[in-house]
Amino acid sequence: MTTRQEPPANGRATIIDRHRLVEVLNAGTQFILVTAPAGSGKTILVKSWLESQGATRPYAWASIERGELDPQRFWSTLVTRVRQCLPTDATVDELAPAPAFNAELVIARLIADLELVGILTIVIDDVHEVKRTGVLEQLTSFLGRLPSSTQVVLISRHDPQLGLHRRRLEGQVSEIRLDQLRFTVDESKELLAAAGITLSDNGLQLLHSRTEGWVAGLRLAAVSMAAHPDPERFVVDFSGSERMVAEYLMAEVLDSLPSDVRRLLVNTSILDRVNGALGDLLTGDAGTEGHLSALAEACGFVIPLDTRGEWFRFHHLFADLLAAELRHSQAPEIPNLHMAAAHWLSEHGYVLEAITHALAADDHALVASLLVEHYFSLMLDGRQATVRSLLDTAVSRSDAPELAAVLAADELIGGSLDQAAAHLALAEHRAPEVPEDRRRRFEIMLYVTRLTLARRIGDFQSVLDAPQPAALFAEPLSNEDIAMQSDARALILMNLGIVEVWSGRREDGDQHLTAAEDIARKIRRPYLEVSCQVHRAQSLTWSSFAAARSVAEEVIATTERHGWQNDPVAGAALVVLGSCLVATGRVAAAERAFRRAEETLRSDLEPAVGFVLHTGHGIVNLVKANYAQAITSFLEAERLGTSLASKSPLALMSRCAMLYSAVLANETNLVQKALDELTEAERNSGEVREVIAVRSLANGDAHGALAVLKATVTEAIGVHHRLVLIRSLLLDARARYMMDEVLEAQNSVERALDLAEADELIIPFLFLETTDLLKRHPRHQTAHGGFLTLIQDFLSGRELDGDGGHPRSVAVSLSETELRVLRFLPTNLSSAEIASEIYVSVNTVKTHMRNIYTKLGAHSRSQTVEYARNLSLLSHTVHAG
Amino acid sequence: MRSHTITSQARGIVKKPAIPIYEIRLRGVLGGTLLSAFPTLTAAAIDSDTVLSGELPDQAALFGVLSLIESLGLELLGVQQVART
Repeated sequence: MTTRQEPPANGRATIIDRHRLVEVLNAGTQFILVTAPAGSGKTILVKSWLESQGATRPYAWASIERGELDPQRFWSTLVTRVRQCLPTDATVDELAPAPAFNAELVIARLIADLELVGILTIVIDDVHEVKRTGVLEQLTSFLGRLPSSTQVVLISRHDPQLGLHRRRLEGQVSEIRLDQLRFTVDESKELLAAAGITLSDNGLQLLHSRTEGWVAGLRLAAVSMAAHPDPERFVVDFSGSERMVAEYLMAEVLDSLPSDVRRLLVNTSILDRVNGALGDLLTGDAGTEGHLSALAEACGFVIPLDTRGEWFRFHHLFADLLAAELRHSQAPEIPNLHMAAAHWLSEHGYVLEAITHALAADDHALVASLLVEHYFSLMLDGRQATVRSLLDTAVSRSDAPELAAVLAADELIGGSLDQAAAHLALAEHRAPEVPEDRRRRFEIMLYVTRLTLARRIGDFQSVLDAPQPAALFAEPLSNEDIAMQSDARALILMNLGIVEVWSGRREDGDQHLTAAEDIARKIRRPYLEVSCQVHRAQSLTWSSFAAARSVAEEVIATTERHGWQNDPVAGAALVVLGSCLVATGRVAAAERAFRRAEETLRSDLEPAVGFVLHTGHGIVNLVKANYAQAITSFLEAERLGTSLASKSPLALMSRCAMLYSAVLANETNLVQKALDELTEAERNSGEVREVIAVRSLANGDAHGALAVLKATVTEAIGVHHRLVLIRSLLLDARARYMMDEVLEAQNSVERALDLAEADELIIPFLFLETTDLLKRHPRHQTAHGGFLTLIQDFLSGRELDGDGGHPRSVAVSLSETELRVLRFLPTNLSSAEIASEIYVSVNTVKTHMRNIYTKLGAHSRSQTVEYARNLSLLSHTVHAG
Repeated sequence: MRSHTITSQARGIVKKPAIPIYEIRLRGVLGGTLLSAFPTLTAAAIDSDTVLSGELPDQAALFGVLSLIESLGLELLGVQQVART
């Protein structure tokens, strides 16, 4: 469903002014509950009330779809509606689909945004359609935290269990129930008059008492009577019948219609929505479109879903009654109708609806092929919950091997990697059973799944070894293949690229990641795009931390804009950002980034990202001289590095960093033992030579240190990153000062500064005891005076002290986020810089600043700071990182 | 219920679990169209009401029927379990 408009348009259905109910609605309580059975006129009442308020009360209307299973879709609909009803959409951030969904985060953000929005009414219609307790819990949590400026109207067929008892006791809940909704005799008269029907007082009384003021009954009666030669007679017959009101009237309505219209209503009752082409297909007639428009004009039971008059749906009660009529009169036809609908919907790209009808028609081959073909696209559309439910149904009825492949792919999203591997093995085993015409897409799916799984468990070697399926790039391609392939190809290139970057084939990796990113951009898959960008940022850290940082920050801003802050992709970006911050000596800021990353990645830490995270932690601890913790972090990084590929250069890197920490911690035996275990090749790496040099220096053996560093500093042998060279040069300088070779020492320091300044690589200076080196470095001879001063500032601990934590303020009037922004105001950071500090968009920061000004009654930033200081709101001022 | 089944099994008695029979009373007389929505239940008209009865193997089946009753806008007067097969 992409076209559904909210709230439902009323067509020409007459809206009766119902004063006594409007009074209840106008009472101004924060919660309004409208609960009554189907057809009681709940929606139309609330809608006409809101429309009569005009612009004085903006409202957002979200209906829960029939049988809704996707919390993501409900919340994104609600966010969209709230955005749409505000004069500018800048206040409320949009929510874009992503495979994983974190409701709590989205709710927290929406609540924070609603605080800024001011007066607003939110209508949630068809609350009874919430069948999953998860959504109910989310709604309960949402309602419990709403700011008082937000009013909520809940419309439901039965009392929703949403924890409103306390609010009811506080007098904050108004209710409208069945008895109030019943039409009075006068209202019934008005309704009939609007349909051009006049009855005698007696006839009106009869009709009213027979329908008991039930509005759906009155409306059905009105439709029948409009076509009836003798309305009075109609009422008498109706009153004399014992049949159910709805059933009697429905039969009358259908009888009064021409046979083609009648067929249209009954046959299309299997659909959630209908358009001209589908209606023609299911009835075998032409002219559906005209009939639907006429019906929508004539009665309130056919509801247009768009302004173009293309799609319509039936009032739910009306649809259910028609479906009963279909079952009653032409049960054997039903599977054929579902089948025809399934094919039309699949050909026109309405995949989920097509699968639903294919399931109803028991066409398992179609179900399996639709799921295989569209799984990745649906997942990227954020429809995993719905797909999961359809998949469960399909699996319970069919054991097609294709379903095993879909199950494997599905487990990769928030499921179990072991389960994924098991399903994958089964699918591979049974591949020969897949019919020839469906084989190609099946193999593409298997390949994508295999690749993703291997990448996620860090089995990089098998990715590099696996041959690409010939089918993937075979010609000629059908249109369906190309559509499936855009998503699949982007996924394949992305996974390949990630593995290559981590396996030392960065050039190939960058190329593949860029290609995947290009496809993702073209097919509008922002989620895939940022996933590629994160790993490209990681790759960039080898050449430029500044460039890597800027890509990582861009990704973080994008995730924030789309509501994916808690998605693993945001976590991975924070890890890259953290490692860039570490390299440039921003240790406290790096720790903040790592902490936030860990919150995001708790359940989904893939080995490659984990490696960077633990390495980062290790270096932070090294700088803080927490050697024991540093050793633990580096050991964990090494474990992950080893798991990525058997002979990983990363593993050796971590091992050396660990040994480095061990030397500083005086773990002499551990270091000797580890050095003894190294292979000849490993001994020739720049990192191992550093470790030996550090040990020599610790033992006062300057000669030994110089000797071992020679290959590194003179010929750059075994140096795969300039950080190694910088560190070696600094160690070299220390050794030379010990030997009183002052000029040579200064020369090495100057070379280290040369290499470090462009990318601000401050970190080596922070843990290599360089205070003396820098103090003795001649100011008048260096080309890096400013940089030298900056390093000395860092060495004096200025930055490290900045991270004092920000305990919650006692101030009630400012929200948590506003307080966070407020504490940056005394610094000279621009709003863009504040935004990057707290990982939100510039617009959000500006909005918060506006609100802070308003709340404090200030007219400028300096005035705000002054007022805030007087109110002791700034007691935990942060440093400017 | 559960413990009963387990005991029976423990004794080695092979016995199908008893399926409950429910009676659901609705206001008004349902015609063929509406009755076709409940193909597994039989209907009887009693005092201008309709009583649907039949086997509903578990609570999920029962709630399925109740939800259908709600969506068809029928007025529910009562539900009871009358026997087990």
